[in-house]
Amino acid sequence: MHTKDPFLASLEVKPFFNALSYRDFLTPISLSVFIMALIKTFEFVGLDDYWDLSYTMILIAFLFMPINHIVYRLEHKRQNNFMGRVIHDITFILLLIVIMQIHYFILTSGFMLMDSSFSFVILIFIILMGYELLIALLKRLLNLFSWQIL
Amino acid sequence: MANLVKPKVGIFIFSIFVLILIPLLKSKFNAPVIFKQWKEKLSWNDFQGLPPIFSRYSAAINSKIFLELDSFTKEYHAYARQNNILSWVKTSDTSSQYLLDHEQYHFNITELHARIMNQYIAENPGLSFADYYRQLNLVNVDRDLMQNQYDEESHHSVNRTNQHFWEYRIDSLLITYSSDSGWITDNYARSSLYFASKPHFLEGVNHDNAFRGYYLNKYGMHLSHLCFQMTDKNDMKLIRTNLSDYYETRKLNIQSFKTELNNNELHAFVVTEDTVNSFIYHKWIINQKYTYMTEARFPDNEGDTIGYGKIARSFINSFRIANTDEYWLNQFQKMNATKPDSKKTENATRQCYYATHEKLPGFYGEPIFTESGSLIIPYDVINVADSLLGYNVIFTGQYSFGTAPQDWNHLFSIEPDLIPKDSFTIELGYILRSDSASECKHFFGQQLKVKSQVMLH
Repeated sequence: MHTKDPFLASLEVKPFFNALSYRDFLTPISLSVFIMALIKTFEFVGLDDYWDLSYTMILIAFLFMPINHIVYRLEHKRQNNFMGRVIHDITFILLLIVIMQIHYFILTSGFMLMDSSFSFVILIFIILMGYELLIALLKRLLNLFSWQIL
Repeated sequence: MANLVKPKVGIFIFSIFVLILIPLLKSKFNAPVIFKQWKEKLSWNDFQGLPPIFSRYSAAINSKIFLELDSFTKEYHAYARQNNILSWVKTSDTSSQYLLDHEQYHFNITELHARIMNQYIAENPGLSFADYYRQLNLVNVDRDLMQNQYDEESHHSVNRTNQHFWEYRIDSLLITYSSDSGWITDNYARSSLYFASKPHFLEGVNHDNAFRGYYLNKYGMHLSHLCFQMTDKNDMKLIRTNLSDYYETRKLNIQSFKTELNNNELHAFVVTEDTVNSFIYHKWIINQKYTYMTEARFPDNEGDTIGYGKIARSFINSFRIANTDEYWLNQFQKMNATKPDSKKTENATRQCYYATHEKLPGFYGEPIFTESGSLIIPYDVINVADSLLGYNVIFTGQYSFGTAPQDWNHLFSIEPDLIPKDSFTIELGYILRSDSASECKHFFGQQLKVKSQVMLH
């Protein structure tokens, strides 16, 4: 039986799209709204006096990103491959931005000014790739010690 | 396959609930909002919002710029308004005027940017709302930057000296975008200097010397300027000694004492420290006719005094001696146009007067000769209300003239043909209204020597 190289298999997007369902969107939507609620609660109780909540939001988004993959694994009974993860992360980030803008629009009838240049989008993409690469390397390292995660 | 849809929907609904609840709590469940206009001073009653429980600050203000179409002029106008529901104060801090002032100056920054926006509208009339709104967004970015800088540098009002310096800076900027220039000119004393806020006027008599001036107790400082009228010729060498005595008798510790004599005018800049930990900057200009004293006093027991020092130097260096002849010549023209009551002048010449010189009655400006040769003398009666004045009287030896107090500030004038050819002495003063009916009236006056040719224009 012909087995694919694990590295090449991790770069395929077909398995992700073949198994794509509404549940894969529901996870990032719920997480994005939850992060927004968390940040707004921090702001409401005055924690923004102590640190910048925009950086906190970025930090929380990156901390919560693996939850998407944990839920994916539980729901699909298999791990998402590398490209699937990156696509999932991008979906999550985009939904977070959309929900932020909707929230802002409802409160102020305006839109938040954000850097939407091509270079910024590419930068986000590279950061997400790098982030997933780092997680993959960490997983591989932990697998060596039989400490499998995600 | 694990069914995680329900927990996900649960998290989603809970988060949406929180996102709806927070604005509702912030707006006190849509309590009616009162927008305060900038013209009215803020009070703690204007801070009705819910304070954030973990906030390390004592109060916060929410103020914004609004664009409105003036239905009369059909032009847009920008206004600064404060929202009482989104502004909050912790109940323990509602007695602090200092803190309220800090918040007031946040509001003043918004007002400043509303004025900047109005200037843009005035320079670019007839644009659409979208164009003005786009510009307003840019102005708001600048406003937010300034608000943050204000908080950062004043350390949210904890750094008192920087807080006061910012207050001075914001007041100065507000004046830049208003019809008032901030320059105060005393036309009698010929002194001119810059106040970032409207000062109080001051006049009186000290050791037989009439004085006029202004003072301002703001920014944690005392800023004042006084001009004393010299009755005798000044000996500059003696004055220099007297100046040193002035500080010694007041037990002021002299830090710096610089004097300079220019064209028979003594300039002195003195920095002293008093016994209650205040720094005092004095700038003196003394000539034959006037002594000008500009003072800035500020506490030096609050650690950093850089901000106070900047205000003091800016204030003291703004002082200059102005030429106010044009002002008085205009007043003279106005006076002629209104044609003062000739009967009153005539009556004054036939009256009986007696002078006691029991008190110095007024502050006179330098005599000015007009192009037609008339002599005009500005004259301000000190410590007597206009309502108590009967009329002003001037004697030139042979003649006397009386004029009723008018809007043109007690300006005496003598026609060219009545002016003696050589130097002469005149007496100028006033009669009280209560004395008007007396047969012989009490004349409160003082002498002034006039050199006819020297002062000709």
